Amino acid sequence: MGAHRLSLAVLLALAALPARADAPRERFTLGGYFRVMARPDLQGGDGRLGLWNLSGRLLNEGPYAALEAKLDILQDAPGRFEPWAAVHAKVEGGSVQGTDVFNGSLTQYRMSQLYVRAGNVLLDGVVWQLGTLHTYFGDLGLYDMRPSDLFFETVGLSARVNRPRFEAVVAVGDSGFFLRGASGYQAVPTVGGNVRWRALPGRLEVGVGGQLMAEPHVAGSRRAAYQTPGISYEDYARREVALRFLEANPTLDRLFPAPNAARAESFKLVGYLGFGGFGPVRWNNLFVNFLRLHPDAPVTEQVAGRTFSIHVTNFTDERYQLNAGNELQLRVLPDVLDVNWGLLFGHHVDLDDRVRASEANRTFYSTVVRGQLYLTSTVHLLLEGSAAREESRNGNLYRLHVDSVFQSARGVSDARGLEYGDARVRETYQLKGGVVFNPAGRGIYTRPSLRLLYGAQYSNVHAAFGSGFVESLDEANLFRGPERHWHHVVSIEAEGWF
Amino acid sequence: MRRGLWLAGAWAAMWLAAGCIQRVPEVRLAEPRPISVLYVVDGAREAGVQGPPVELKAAVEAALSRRNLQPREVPLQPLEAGFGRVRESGKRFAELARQAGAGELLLLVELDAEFFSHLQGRYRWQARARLTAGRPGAEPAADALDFPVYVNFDHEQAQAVLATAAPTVADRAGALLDQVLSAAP
Repeated sequence: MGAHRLSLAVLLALAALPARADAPRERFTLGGYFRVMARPDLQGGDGRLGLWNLSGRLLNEGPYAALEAKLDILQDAPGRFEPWAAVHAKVEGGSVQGTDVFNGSLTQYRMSQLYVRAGNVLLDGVVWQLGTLHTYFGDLGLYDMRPSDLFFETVGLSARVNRPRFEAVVAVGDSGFFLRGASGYQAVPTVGGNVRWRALPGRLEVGVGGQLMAEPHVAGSRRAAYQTPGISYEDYARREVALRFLEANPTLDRLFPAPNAARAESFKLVGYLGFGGFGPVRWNNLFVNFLRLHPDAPVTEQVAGRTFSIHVTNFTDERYQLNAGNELQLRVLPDVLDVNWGLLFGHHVDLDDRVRASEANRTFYSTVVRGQLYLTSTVHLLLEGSAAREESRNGNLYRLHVDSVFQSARGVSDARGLEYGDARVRETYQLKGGVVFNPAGRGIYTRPSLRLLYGAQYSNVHAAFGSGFVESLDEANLFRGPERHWHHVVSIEAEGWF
Repeated sequence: MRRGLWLAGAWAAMWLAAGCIQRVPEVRLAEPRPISVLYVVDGAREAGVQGPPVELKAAVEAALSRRNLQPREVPLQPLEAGFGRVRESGKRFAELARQAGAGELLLLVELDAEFFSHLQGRYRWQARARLTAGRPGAEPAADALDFPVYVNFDHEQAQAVLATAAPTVADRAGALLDQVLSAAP
């Protein structure tokens, strides 16, 4: 009762005064990310320990920088539910002078996001986003991957409702410039959305979502989806469609078959399970996606001075992927030791391609474990290990030795073979460790981080890292090198968000 | 050899110069002194107010204790209705002075956090703090912070963001009180 009386007195006292909002918020805000390193590679590599993030992002990624600016176009007063609007623009890319072959060239940067967010327009509590629409449930930090992302390629309009127990996004847009930009724009209408249900807020949440991209056929448009009839996949794989046609039909090159209209559709379904906040489990993220890639644009072949367009929609419309990733974050000994454990699985299938070994037909598995031991709040020891296995599902795809064959058929050297190398499995093991200086304190993902690291990689494959080696087996090759299954890298690097 | 000596000399000079940079000393009172503290977390877009995360209170109280100040938290609940409608630090500070004991130092900590965007897999928030401190009857000193805070997960909302921001806010609150305590009593 006393509290109520006091509350009423305060309310009356303050209500008598001219109420006004607190100091106005800054209209312009700038955020960003950077990753920069010096990694002298004394084994002829390009400064990255392995080939890609399957062994974890640490020491396998190059430099990166991103800047995101936000400008409040229209600020609202708290509690008034007035319309508000802000514009976001993000520029990002992977080059910094002196750290990679592009030496900081701005050609490596792009405006990846530009959108306006507005709220309390037409519908209270709905946030509209107009422009780029990229969204995701969360992140696999150890791999720097976001299997649950949607609308990466889409521009359009989305509506987001965010309540304490759930969050929902519905979006419509066009992905044509991203999917078809290189070969000429063709509209690819896109629709989809996602829902996150916070079953036990901060303890358990579940999400599902999806997007569908359907490209309508536009009669008469050379950019539309077509299939060149009467050609074989093997000829397409060898880029010999036009050559075979002319062999069979000499002097009739003008009768090269006209393409037929085709359907071009693709989709992506995503799922998410997050839980944590008990015992040593800080949080666990599990992401799954199942997708069908959008069919490819036409390819061209030049034969006898003439350029032929080969339309391949039906040859590239059954490429499916199932990807799953999990990251468990553990506080093993509070303020002493944290451990993150990641798992990644991918199963990629190209039902059209039964003849060629490629990354479109493969299965991969990976696990990464990172521990960070806190010597003090700012000086930490980092140790990370990973094991990864990639299996080609259509024959050999990897070279085991410095003198392994390149083109092969069933493992036998064959200049007409559609396999590569002499092994269908690549295994990669990495061990990385070093000292981390985190001015902002403890935490595996606390940034900025200044790191002095050493990494070693062993692979069954020869030179499983980016390099400047000449791979030719020609006897006149002047740069023949030894077989390399081990790779060592030292790195001084800094990473931060701001 | 001569070059090495020059380098060593230059290094020593830089070391000495760095040592000469004056840090503002942290004040520690000879006798413990009570201080009334009021925490207010404003909604970024909502009108209501709420209390701070325990991590932030603990950090601020630790900063006060290092100065031999004995914090007494003024409960926010009786003030919520009025504070939710009026966000003027001066009036809130005046209300804090009314709630505090005679002669007590005063510290008002006002906070809010607003989501900015997803940025390279992290959730970027913009946190703001307005700190007002003083002696009763005297012109208060004030400080304001506007800084980014990154959290890892979607479920880490404003309270978790402010918990992450606790060390920064506590350091600045301590520095503000150093200023107040250093002034003439």
